[in-house]
Amino acid sequence: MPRAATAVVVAAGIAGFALATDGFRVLTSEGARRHAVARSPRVLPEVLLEDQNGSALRWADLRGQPVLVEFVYTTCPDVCQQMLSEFRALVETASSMGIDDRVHFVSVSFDPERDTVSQLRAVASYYGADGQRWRFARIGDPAALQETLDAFGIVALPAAGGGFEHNAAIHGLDAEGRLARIGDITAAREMLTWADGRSGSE
Amino acid sequence: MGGWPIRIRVAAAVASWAAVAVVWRRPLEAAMVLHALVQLPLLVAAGALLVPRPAPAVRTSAHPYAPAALLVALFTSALWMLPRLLDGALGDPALETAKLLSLPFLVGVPLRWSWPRLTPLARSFVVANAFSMLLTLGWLYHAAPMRVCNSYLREEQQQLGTAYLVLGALLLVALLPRLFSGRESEHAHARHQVASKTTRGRTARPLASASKASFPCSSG
Repeated sequence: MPRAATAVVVAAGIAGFALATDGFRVLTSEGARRHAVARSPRVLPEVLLEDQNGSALRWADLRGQPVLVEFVYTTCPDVCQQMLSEFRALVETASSMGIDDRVHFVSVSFDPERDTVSQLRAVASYYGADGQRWRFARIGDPAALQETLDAFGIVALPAAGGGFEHNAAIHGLDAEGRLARIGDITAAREMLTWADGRSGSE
Repeated sequence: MGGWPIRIRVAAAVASWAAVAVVWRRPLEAAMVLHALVQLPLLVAAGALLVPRPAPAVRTSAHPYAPAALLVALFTSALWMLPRLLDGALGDPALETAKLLSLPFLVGVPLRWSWPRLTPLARSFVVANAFSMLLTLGWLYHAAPMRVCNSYLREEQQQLGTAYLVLGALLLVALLPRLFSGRESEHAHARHQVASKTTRGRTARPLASASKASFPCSSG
């Protein structure tokens, strides 16, 4: 009986670990959100965004084509600059592949106080975002912003120096507007390939 | 402390649990180092308070169910070291409730009950693994370029890593003299004597006290 009890505990422990790690695949909540989205695409809340030209934008406006989305704040000194540079490279790659009319790119700021429309326009101009295929956007309403961050699984924590620490990733929306893939910024090209694979024959 | 009457122990356990799980829950969870090194251990301690001090004779013989009880504690505590669960508990009430209840009852109680009932080899194994785990986790948290928990800053993660490394070093400092003192073999000899005397129907109390004093991992 003692050995049986030990065996039961070991089996339960292994099962518990399998459950907590989605089958030994993830150790962190960041890994878990990526795995969850890949397994079951997530419908996004319909919130109002405002692009770099001050025009209203909704996720529904972009349906029909895949969208690559990143969350940044433009005064970020490090990782956001890397993310924006990656997006610029992706847009250029999409253009060279002749698929730039099949994929949308949106850089969303989670710092609407500092990232005003004029600030977004200036940064978009610096990175060469045309406002059509690649848009910069902000969500002015705090509740809508939080709802969006929650839906995407973005956690932005106020950090020293007035900045934020946040999870950095590229998010892929499928043609139905669902969050269907999250990839690392160091594997941006894979996300473009994924998006191209969901763009159909358009 | 383990010799307190049951009502006192239960009251102390409930008060400790309420302090870290209710009253100071948010401040303790606001900082990663407080969450991992204050709240979680105190939840375990609250459960341990429920277990009475074992009779002296218990400490001289291994209990057949002690390994199973120890494994319950080890598996449960290992689960709560997963960044995903630690992180997730902050935003998921069900997970938070699971944490607040499982640490006292599935770690504190079985660990406190099983510890004096384990063989010296099993206790040494646990301590050696705790040492290596502290250093591994400490280095990981200190050196990882990315945050392992979305809810905490990288600076906090590094602080926790440093704290784990310091704890590992302190554990090593505490154990080193005993590792090289040869007391382990004296203890094993004492256990053997106790076992033979108990078989002959004589009391084991004096030697049990001696073993408690000499064994490095003996619980109080």
